This record gives sequence, structure tokens and C-alpha cells, in this order.
Amino acid sequence: MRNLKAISLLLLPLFGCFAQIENPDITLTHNLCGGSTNCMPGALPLGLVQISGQNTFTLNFGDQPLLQPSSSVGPATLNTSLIVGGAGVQLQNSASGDFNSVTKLSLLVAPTSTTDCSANGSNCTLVADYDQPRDGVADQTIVLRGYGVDLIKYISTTSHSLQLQLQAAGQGPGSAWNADVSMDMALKARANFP
Amino acid sequence: MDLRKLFVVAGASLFVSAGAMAQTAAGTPEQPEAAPGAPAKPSKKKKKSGTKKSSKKSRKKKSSTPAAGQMPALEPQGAPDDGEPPQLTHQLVAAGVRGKPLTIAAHAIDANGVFGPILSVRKKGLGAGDYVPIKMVPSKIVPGDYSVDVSSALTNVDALEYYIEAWDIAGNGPSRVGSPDQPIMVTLEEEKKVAATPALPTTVTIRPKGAPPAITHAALTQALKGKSVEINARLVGDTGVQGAAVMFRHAGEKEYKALPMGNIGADDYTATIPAAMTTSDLEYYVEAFDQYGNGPARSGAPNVPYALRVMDPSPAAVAVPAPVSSGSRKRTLDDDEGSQTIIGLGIDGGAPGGGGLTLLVRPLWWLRMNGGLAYNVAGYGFRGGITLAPGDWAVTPTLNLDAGRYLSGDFTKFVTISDPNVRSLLSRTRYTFATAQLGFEFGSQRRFSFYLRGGVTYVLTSFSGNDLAAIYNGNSPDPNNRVSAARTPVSALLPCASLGFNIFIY
Repeated sequence: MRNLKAISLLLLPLFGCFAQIENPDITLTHNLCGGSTNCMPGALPLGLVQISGQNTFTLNFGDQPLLQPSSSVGPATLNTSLIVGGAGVQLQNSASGDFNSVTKLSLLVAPTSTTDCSANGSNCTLVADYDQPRDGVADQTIVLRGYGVDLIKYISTTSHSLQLQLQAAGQGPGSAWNADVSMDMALKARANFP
Repeated sequence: MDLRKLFVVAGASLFVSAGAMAQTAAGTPEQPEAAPGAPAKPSKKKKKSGTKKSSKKSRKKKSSTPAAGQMPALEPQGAPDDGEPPQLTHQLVAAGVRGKPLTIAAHAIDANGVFGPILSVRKKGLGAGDYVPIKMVPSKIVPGDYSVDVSSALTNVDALEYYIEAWDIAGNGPSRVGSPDQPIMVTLEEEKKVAATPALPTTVTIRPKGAPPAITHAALTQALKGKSVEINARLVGDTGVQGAAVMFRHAGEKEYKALPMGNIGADDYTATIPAAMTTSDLEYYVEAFDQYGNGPARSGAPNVPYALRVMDPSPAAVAVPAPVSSGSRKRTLDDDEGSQTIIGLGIDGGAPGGGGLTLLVRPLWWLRMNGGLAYNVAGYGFRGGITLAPGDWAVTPTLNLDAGRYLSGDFTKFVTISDPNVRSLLSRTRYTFATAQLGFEFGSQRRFSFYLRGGVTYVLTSFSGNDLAAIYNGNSPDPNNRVSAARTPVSALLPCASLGFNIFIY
């Protein structure tokens, strides 16, 4: 009986086999204007940018098994998480001015590309935000505090894309401007056997 | 009382008693002037007046009238003074037993008769005035032989020095063996260091020089129950080999049994423990002397014997571990005495670890170490590890722990992915691994065995962040999105299995 227990203990790892990939430092960057041009009008309340729809953008991850909440790969079950640790908005051209008149900025996941997250019942998920009284006056970069949201479950299983939206209050830089929106994420994918 | 005083007092009393004994037993009136102590050397003046001296001698002879048989050492006293001192011969005594009487003998003859001889003895290192004179006693059997036993009270020191003097009755002399300035030294050793007590009072036997033989023996560790055990050793000694024996006992017993070893040619000796004795674990050691009794030389010792594990015989056991060659014999593949094989080769293959060619070394009977090359179709690497085999049976369970690293690997051979970024990533895959496996080995642990193993392997590698970013960026339909990533560790714990064989060749 004792031998049986010993053998069982030795075989136990066989039931805990896994393969795992883990990267705590992945940064995804999206340029609001899609290039080097300053498409954002200067000295305007940021609410206008939202109205014009320039605050919404799509991230397409492609059809990759790692970027699905759960999938079967052969005998293994693959589970993936993509946790947002924080975000940032980086002014591309300092000549455009600065962000010191921005009082609030939120990065949200929108259910659809047409959803206005400022509307009541929009069902958007807050990913990260900036609050000037809380975080201090921003200059060329606005740093948004993350809430540990797992983006995987918001990635469309059909289009493999993610709809993100910026909601802001205050006034943008004095001149026409452009910015990179970046998200710091941690990827962990683990396949358990069997 | 210090030793010096004791020495002088004891010596003086001995001299007195020895002198008295000599006169009582032998009736030696020819030595009336020989008062205890150093005899006064006759003066030259006295020597020149030979006539007076002769008459004096004649008077003395008449007064004593000793029987010839009672004075064997004396020559006829009527002979004229030859002017020559006695002929004194002496077999030097170099060693003795400490605390035991030491016999000193000499032979002295002279035509005029011998006065003395006088043995003067002192402790080594004392001064010239510290000699103790002892009169030597004439033999009743051999004319001219004299001897005296130096008392044990005087021999309880590390060394003595002595010399012997003799005169003739006419006062010629002294004849000397040794001298006060250059005495003969006697080394006194403890009794146990002396091989034999002197058989004759005139000789002291000293153990001949020599050394116990050197023993080369490969210790046995295992034997089969009910099978005899042959124990071999090489015994080399400049002064021969004598009394070689295997001393053995059952574990737990107190007394050893002696098993004489026989010479099987050159310096090789052997002894066989009978099968009837291999009923339980044994302990043994080997010992031998040289022809002079020097020794014993030992391999093992009574308090630290070799342990010989006696195991139940296994029908499929290929190599019986009992017989072991002597240290000088070279082991070969044809040698059945393969229980001491320690070096071999291993070849294996499995999944996902790939195959390997390893050198095997067994420092302990239950422990095997391996190290060598690894190959997994994708590339080459190296690995090493240990295997624990707690027995030498036909089927032996084993625990194997290995670790290694693949230095190159092109895993694109195993996938059908066309993405150039993914293929680039997979073409340069290096990884480190560690494996734990349980298995069974079939055959002999000492010669050839085949095995099957199963367990788990832990794999650790990492991917370049740039390579991973390139995969994403290359597949992203929106060029406006860019990804950057740090180096990404990848790990896995996977089941593994392998099979292979080991062959021990030395």
C-alpha cells in the first residue's frame, strides 16, 4: 500500500502537465491620426473630438489561437489572458502644445464600433483612466491608470478585433495635434494537459 | 635516588656477588689480587723482575692447589712469562631485551693463565668514571669461555655501553674488546620487539629486517546466497609472503574465522568462502605476513572490515557479483567477474527529449552518472544526469534524473506554418530541459541492460520580443497598430518516455 502511494505521488505530475508562455511586458500602440499628420483640431474642447468620432479606433489581433479566451489545441486546453496594466497618450509633436488643460481621460472597450460610451447604458468597460486632480497636470503625455481588465474576452471571435474608445474632458492642445495611444499589457497563455 | 646512583649501586653489588660466586664455585685462587674493582695493572718494574714474580706465582699455586677441572680457563701456571697479554675474543652483543638479564660472553686464553676478564658496563651516555666492573665467570665446560649476566636492574635503560679487559696472571695486558673511550653499544628494546629469546647465553637473536607484504585487493560488495565466494588479492613482499588469510565472519558476529589463501601464480593469492557460509551478510578482511613474521599487512581491518552483502540469487541475473578479480587483473567483456564494472556507454531515444549517446560512470553500486550528447532531430545539445538503481536484479526499477540544453534547433521541420515570422522564430529554438523518469531495466546492471522509462520533462526557453512583435505586426491588418514586446519566457512540463540500453565495458 505504501508503494502504491509512492507511485501515485510520483505520477501526480503527469496530471499537471502544461505549456506556458508569459510575457508581462507587451505594449500595443495606436496612432490616432494614422500617420504623422495632425488631424486633431487645436484649442477645442475634447468633447468635440468625441462627437466627430475621432476618439474611436479598432485593434485587430488577427486569427491567433493564443488570443482567444479558451480553445482546444489537440489534447490541450489553452487559456489566455491579456491584462491591461496601464495606458498612455503621447503627444506626437510638442509644437502642438500640451495636455495640461485635459482634466479627465478614459480608455474604454466599446461593444461595437458605433457605440458612444458617453451615453447612458452604453455597456462600455473602463480599461484605464486619468483624472487631473488625482494624477496631476499632464504635459506631453497623459498616463492612465489601469484596472486590470482582461481584454481577451472583449476581442471579437469573428473579426478578432477590439473596439476602443477615448472619452475626455477639458481642452486639447492649442494647435492641431496627433497622439499615440498605447496600452501596457501582460500576456499569459497556458495549455494544460490533458 | 636518581638513576645514576641506582645504576652504580646495583652494578657494584652485582660485581661483588659475581666475584664471590666465581670464587666459591670455581675456586680460583690464581686471582687473589683480583679484588672487586678494576684490577691493578702490574707495574713495568714488577714485570722486569721475572724471577721474583715466578716464585710468587709458584707460592700462590701451592697454597691454592686448585683442581684442573675447576679452572678450565687457566693455562699451566708453571709456564714462563711469555710477556704477552691474553688472547681475548668476543662476539659483540648489539641488542638485548630491556629489563631482562643480558648475557655477555668472551673467550680468553693465555699461557700464563688469565686474570679476569672484567666486563665494564655503563648506561649509554654516562661518563668514563661511571663504568661498573663485573668479573666474568669461567665456563665449567669449555676452557677459556667466560660469561656474565648483566643484571636486569642494569638493563632497564635504552642502551648500555661496555668493554672487556683481560690480563694474564703475569700482569700482561690488558687485552681489550672495546675500550672506555670506544665502548660497544647494546640497544635494549622492549621484549615484544624481539623475535626470539636467545637460545644460547652467548647470542642474542634480533628480528631480521624486512617488511610485511603489500596487499592489493578489490573489495567485494555482493555475493549470492548459497554460492561460494572467491576472494583474490595480490600480495607482494620483498621478504616473501606467509600466513596469507581471509578473516571473515557473519555480520553481527564477534569472532573472525581464518581462511588461508593459496598462491595461484606469481603474486596472486585466493581463498574461497564456502557456499555453506554465504547464508547471510558477511564481513571480511585480508591479512598476510612476510617470512620473518613482519606484519600483519591488511586490506580492511578487524574493526573496519569489508561488508559483503549476501543476496538471494535471481534466476535471470547475468553476472554473479561474487567473484572479483584482483586489483591487478584487467577486466574484459568475456570476464564473468564483472561486478566491478564502472564505465560504460548508453544509447537512448524518446519523446519529446530525443535521443542521446552518453558515457556512464558508476561510482557506487547503486548510483550511475551519465553525460554526453543529445539529439532531437531539430538540433544538438548536451545533457547529464544520474540514475539510481537500488538493486541488481533481472528487472531493476530505476529513478533517472537528467538535465541538459539544446544548443540549436530548427522546429520548422515539425510544423506546416507558412508565416515567415513564425518560421524564423521556430528555426532558432534553443531550450533547457530537466527530466525525471521512473523505469525498469532488464538485464544486468553490471554488463548489459535494456530499459523503458516514463516521467515528466520540464522545458524552459524564451522567444525574442522582436520576433514575437514581428509575428503580430505582420498579421495585423491595421498598420496603424504596432506591438513591441520584451523577451518572452516559455516553459512546459510535459510527459515523456524513453527507451534505451546500457553496456558496461570496464
